[in-house]
Amino acid sequence: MEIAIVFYVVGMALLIEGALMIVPAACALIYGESLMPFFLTALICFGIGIIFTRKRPESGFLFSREGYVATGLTWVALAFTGMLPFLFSGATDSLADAVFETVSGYTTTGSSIFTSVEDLPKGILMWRSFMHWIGGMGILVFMLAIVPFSGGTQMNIMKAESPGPSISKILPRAQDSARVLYQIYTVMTIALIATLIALRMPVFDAICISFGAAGTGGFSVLNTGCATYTIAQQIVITIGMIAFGVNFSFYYFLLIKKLRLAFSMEEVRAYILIILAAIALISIDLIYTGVYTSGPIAVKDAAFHVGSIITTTGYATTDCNLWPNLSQGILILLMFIGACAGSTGGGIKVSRVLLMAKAYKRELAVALHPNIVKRVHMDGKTADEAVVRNTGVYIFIYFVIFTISVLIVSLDGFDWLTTFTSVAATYNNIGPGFGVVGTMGNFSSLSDLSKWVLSLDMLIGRLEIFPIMLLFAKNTWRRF
Amino acid sequence: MNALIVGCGKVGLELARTLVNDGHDVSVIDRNEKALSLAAEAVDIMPVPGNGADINVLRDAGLETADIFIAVSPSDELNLLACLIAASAREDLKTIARVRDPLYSKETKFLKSKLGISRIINPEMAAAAEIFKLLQFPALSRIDTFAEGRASIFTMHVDAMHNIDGKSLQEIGSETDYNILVCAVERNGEVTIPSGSFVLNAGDDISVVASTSEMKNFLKHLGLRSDAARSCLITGGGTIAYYLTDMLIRIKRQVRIIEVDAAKCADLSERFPEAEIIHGDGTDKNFLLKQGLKYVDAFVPLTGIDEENIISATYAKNISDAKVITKINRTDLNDVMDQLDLDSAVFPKLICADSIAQYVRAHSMGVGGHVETLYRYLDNRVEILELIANDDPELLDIPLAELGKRLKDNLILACIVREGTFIIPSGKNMIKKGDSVIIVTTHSGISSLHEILA
Repeated sequence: MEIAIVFYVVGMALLIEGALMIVPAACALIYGESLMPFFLTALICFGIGIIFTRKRPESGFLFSREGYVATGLTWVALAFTGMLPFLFSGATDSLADAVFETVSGYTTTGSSIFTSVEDLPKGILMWRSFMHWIGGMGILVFMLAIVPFSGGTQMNIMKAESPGPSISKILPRAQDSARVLYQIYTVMTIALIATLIALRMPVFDAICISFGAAGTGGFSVLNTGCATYTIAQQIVITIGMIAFGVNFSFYYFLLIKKLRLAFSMEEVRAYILIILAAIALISIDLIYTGVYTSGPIAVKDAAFHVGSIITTTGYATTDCNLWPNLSQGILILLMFIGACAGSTGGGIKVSRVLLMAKAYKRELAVALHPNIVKRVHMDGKTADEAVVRNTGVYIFIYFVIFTISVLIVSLDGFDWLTTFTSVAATYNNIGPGFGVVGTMGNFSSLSDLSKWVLSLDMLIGRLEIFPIMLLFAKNTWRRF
Repeated sequence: MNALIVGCGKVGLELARTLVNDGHDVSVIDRNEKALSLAAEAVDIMPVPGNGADINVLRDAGLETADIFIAVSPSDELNLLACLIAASAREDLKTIARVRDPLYSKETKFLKSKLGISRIINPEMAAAAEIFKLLQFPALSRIDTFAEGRASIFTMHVDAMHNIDGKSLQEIGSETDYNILVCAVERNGEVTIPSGSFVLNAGDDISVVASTSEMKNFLKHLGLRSDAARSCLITGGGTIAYYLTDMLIRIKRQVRIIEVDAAKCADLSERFPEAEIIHGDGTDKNFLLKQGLKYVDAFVPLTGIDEENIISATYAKNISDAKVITKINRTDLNDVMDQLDLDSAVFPKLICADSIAQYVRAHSMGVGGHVETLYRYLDNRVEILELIANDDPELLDIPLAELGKRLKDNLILACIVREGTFIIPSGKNMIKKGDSVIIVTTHSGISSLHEILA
């Protein structure tokens, strides 16, 4: 393995992280808070970053192994450096808590260990939300957009960091692809911020909430989450969240005016369909069981939470623990489906679910006609058999890790709904679950062991299993 | 002796050349008349056009008077059938068949005992065994054993870094307690059998006889790498790769094979679950890098195309410290290889021809002692033979100080293995009955111990 290039990438990511401290620092400056936490963190990031990038490796080859390892290590490094502002500012003095909060931020989960976020300094709140924004599209994709790499192997980083069963470039050059992604991402985020400000949301809230929605994160700046915002603001946030859960290729196709290509994306169509069906079912359930008396408010809350859960954002306008069983069940199901591949969301991804549904249909056909030759089609093209096979194994491993995590967290002795959804909510990068960790609760009462396990789950979920699991494989570290 | 060879390919021709040079009469049978006439121009043979499995053709070629029958056509089945027919026509005939398919070669014992074939030669397996030996001692460019493995002869390149550069053989001998003998030196294309005052220089290729048990320590003493290669990258998943992987997996080495044909990959993966089978083009520079060429202990290009093997070997030498062992099918590239500095090269066709030539010489029942083993070194310019001494009053029990005066020029008695002990002979030693005597000479065609006398 080319270990030199791996460290170079990690170092570069740390340099970028150090530079990004400017955002929360600026916020702290405006609110007259101490700059020290961010200054010290930046100093440490620069220190390590400079050591790692001191010598540029001669061969800039990032083969798939190096790509995976660099991505996995970068995210672990980010977890342990991004937590420093929490420790330095005294927001928490527990390592497990600080790491949990940071991983939750970068992986765009939004599960928090803070019982009262309103008491935190504004700079720290901004840092939490800004981590969502960077983690959503990925810090390495950001690095690819600004740091020139030679050799043409940098796609391996993008593949390792971006979610979805098969990642393809949207432009011939990886750097251009990364830039276009970040351009679309930035423009959409600014549009959301502007709309919320126009609707009279405080500027600080508008920026933080938009960062969370864009990265499909879910850290809020108020103890009540999004409940205190006006109905119009809530509707805009709903639309914003759902928009960031769409595959970014869709927006690129719109941008280059290939409307037919954009709207023929089966994944996006399935995603919208699932959302509409879930909103309808939950609205009917909420009104039928009498939890809500007003129809439009029920639809608004149903839409907000369906959008929040399927995109794995995790904002809330109400306490879902009070919702009827069917509605809760649908939300738990949506947790696992997740957003589209190539978006900023987490979960299994709609395209994988779609692919497996089609593979199931094929197996039915094979059972009927054992000699049948049948390919799985996606977006009018045949799907690569390797991708179909990989997706099956992916989903199996996904649930194996899920089960093991649930068993470990169950040691804490919470009820099963809490235990199960705390893992589901972190592993799928959503944020709140049900029960103790519900929309109005938080993760502070979990044991340190559970927090470490869930932190790892968040990383595994965000990077889609392999980059993290490969760090533990013996063969990964062999020189040959 | 009269020899009949079926198959006039590279091996057949090389073999014919050796046998003719050794003074035997050779007839070559092949269906390809063109190949036959070309061969007849190059070597003094009797060309016989026809099918080697046709008894009439065999009779025409002189089956009745033949002493040895060798089938080396490209087809395993034809070789076996031809040997079977020849052996049934002449029961006392020695028959040798080349069989390459791993399927048949598992049944060597059966083929030999039931079909009456005297010897089965598998060049691919022999080549794999040779590569395997080199992987155990990556510092050497060639290594062979004598006397049931007790004595070894190896070839190495003298480097300015080694602490024997610039020393005479006597100095080297007095510095170490090891029983070694430098028996041949190639310098600037000239082969010498050196005396004690010979001074070694960087750039020499030397052949050394040593006791196998001491060899490792001796290499360490020279400052050479004495540990075996732990990981091995092979390109081309052919028969040699198959045998080699089998040997390496057994001793738990890490093996990665790059093969371009998906079906072959599937076969290999079925047979060797422990090996990593990579589907891709092993001649692609970037692909090789991706597969860790830089960090592997040994790189072994085994594709079917010599040029590709040589190119990737040269590339590997440039970018990595790996031991490189190149397989080369063509038999006429020997001297070109020397100029390329490729570490080690393995020529399966030469191995095959050598091994048959050794068998033929061993069965010529020489006076004073017969040939047990034969190796040809440095482009066939040096022969290293193991001869078993029997009754010969002109040789036995005579101190070597005296016997030495009667030996041929350019011939040395490298060592004697007596009842398992390895002796580098000095003037007082004598040859006794039953000794394995290893001689190094630039004369070719020695087939009995008596012939070492001038």
